[in-house]
Amino acid sequence: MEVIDVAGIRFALDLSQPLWEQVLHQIRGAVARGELRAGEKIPSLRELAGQLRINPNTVMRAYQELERDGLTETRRGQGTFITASQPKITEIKISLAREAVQELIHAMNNLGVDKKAALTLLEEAVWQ
Amino acid sequence: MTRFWALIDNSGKFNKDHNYTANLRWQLFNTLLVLLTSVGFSYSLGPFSLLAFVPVFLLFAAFISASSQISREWREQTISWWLTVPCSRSELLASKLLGALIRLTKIAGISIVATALIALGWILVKPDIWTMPAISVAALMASKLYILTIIVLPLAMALGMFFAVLMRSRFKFFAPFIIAFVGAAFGAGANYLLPILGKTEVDTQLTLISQIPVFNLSLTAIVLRVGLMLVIAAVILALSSYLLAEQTEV
Amino acid sequence: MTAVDMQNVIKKYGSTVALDSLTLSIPEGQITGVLGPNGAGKSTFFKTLVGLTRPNQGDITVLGQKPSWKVNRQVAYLADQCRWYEYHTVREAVEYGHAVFPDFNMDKAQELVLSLGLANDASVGSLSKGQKARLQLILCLARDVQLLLLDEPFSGIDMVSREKIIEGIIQTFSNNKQTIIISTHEIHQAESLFDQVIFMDQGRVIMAGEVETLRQERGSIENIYRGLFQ
Repeated sequence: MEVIDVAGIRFALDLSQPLWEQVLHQIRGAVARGELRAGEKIPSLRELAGQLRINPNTVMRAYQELERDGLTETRRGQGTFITASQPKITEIKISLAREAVQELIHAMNNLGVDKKAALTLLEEAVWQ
Repeated sequence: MTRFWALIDNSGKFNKDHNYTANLRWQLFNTLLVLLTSVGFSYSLGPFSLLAFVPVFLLFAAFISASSQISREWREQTISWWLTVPCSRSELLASKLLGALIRLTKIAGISIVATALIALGWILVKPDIWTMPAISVAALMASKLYILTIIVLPLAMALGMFFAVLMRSRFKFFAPFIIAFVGAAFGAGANYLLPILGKTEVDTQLTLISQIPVFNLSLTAIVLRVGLMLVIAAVILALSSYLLAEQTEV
Repeated sequence: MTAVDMQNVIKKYGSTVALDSLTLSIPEGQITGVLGPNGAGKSTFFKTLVGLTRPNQGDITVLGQKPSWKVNRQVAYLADQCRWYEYHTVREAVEYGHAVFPDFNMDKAQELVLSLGLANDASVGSLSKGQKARLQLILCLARDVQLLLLDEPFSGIDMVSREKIIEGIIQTFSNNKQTIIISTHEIHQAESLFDQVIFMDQGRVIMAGEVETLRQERGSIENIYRGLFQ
C-alpha cells in the first residue's frame, strides 16, 4: 500500500485492486470531507499521474468519471476544477454517507447483530 | 550537423579513446616505423629498400582501422544503438569508412611527418651516403610508393570493413576461404597495378638501388586504375551492406 | 489499431527455441508490460521488432509494416545491457541523438537531462550505472516516436534512478500518439505503469490482458506473476 500526498489529498493505492477506482473514490472522499473545496483547482492529469507514479490513462479514466458525475469541470487552458455547485457537493456527501451506512450494515450482519440492536448501539455511541 | 556527418564524426573520434587497445597497436606501428626509417637511412643505401615496407604497413593499418571501426560497436556493446539508426546500411558502413579514413589520416600524417624528420636527421648525419642525386632518387621512390599506397587505400579499407561484417555474419566460418580468395584476387590485381611502378635504367653509381620506380603509364591509364579501385571498393561496400542487412544478427 | 502484431513467430538459435510460435497483439496508445522469467524470450521478441534479428518463421507487423530500418524512424529502442559511447559527454550524446534520429526533440531532451539529474559536461564513462541508464532512456524519450521499446530499463539500477526513469516515462507518454512496451523484473515498482500486460514463458504467451481487469479478478500483477511462475 503506497500512501502519497498530492496537493493536500492523501492517496493510498492498493495494487491488488483497480487503481482508477481508487483514485476516483479518494478524490470523491476528499471533496465530501471538505479537504477539497468547491471551485478548487486539482492537479492536472499528467501532474497527478507523475506524483502517484501511475499510468496517465488510469488517471484519465478516473477524471473522465468525475467529469461525467459533474463533480469536476475542465476549463480549456486553465485546468481541472472541483465544481462550484454546493448542491452537487452535498449530493456526494450524502452518497458517501449512504455507502458508509451500507458498510456498517454489512459489518453488523457479519457479526450477527440485527437492526434493532444496531440502532441501540448507535444511540449509545458518543457522537463527536 | 547532418546525420551522415554525425556518424562519421563519431567514428573519427580518436584522442578520447584512452582505454582503447588499438592505441597500443598504433604505438607499435609508429615505433616500427621509426626503427625502419632509422635503419633505412643510417647505414648504406642497401637497407634503404626496407622503407618500401612503410607504405605496406600503412595499407595494413588501413585494413585494421576500417575493420576495428565496425567491430568495436559489437565489442563495446553499442551495437544495438548503431544498427537501429534509421538509415540504410550503406550509409552506416560508408560513414564508418570515412571515419576510419579520418582516423587513419591523422595517424598516417603523424607517422609520415615523423619519418620525414628522422630521415632528414640521418641525411644530415651521413652526408657521405646522402649526396644530392641519392636524395632525389630516394625522394622519388618514396613519393611513388606513397602514391601507390593512396591509390590502393580505398580497397584496403573496404576489405577491412567487409571482413569485420563477415566475421559477425552467419558466413563467418567461410572467412578463411573468402580471405584466401581475396588474397589471390589481390595478387592478380597487383600485377595489373604494378606497371604504374615499372622499371627503368639505373644510374651506375647507385647500383644498390636496382629498381627505381618510374611511372611509365599515361595519366589516363593511371586514372583508369584509380577509378577501378574505387569501383571495386564500392562493390565491396554494397556486398557488405547486404551482409549487414540480411545475414547478421545481434 | 494495433501497434505490434505477431503471428506464429518461431526463432531458433541453433537447437534452442527462443520464440515458440509466438502470437500476440499490442494495442496502440497504451503502455504494455511484458513479463516473464529469464530466458522467456522477451529480449528476442524486442530484437525481432526492430529487425536486429530475423525470425525463422511467422509474420511480424510493426506499425503496420514489416520490421526494417525505415519503420525504425518511428521506433525508439532501448536494448537490454547496452552501453553508450563512453567518450561522449552528456551534451555530446544529446547532440549526436539530435543529428542521427529524426524527430528528436532537443527541448524535451534538455528538460529530461535536468529533471533526471544529469550534468551536461560529465563524460559518459564517468557516470554511474544508473546515470548511464537514465541517459540512454533520455535518448529514447526525447524522440517523438510512435513506438517506444524498453527492454529491462530498470535492470541493475539503483532505486532513485528507477523512480526517475518512471517519472520520465510518465512525463513524456502521450497517449494519443505513443505506444510503449516495457519488459522488466521490477514488477512491484513498474506495474502501476501498465495498461496491458503479457506474461511470457519459453517463447510463448501464457497469459495476457488488461491490467485493471486482471487486478479486479485476481489481485496485483506481482501476485499473478508469482502464481504463474512459482
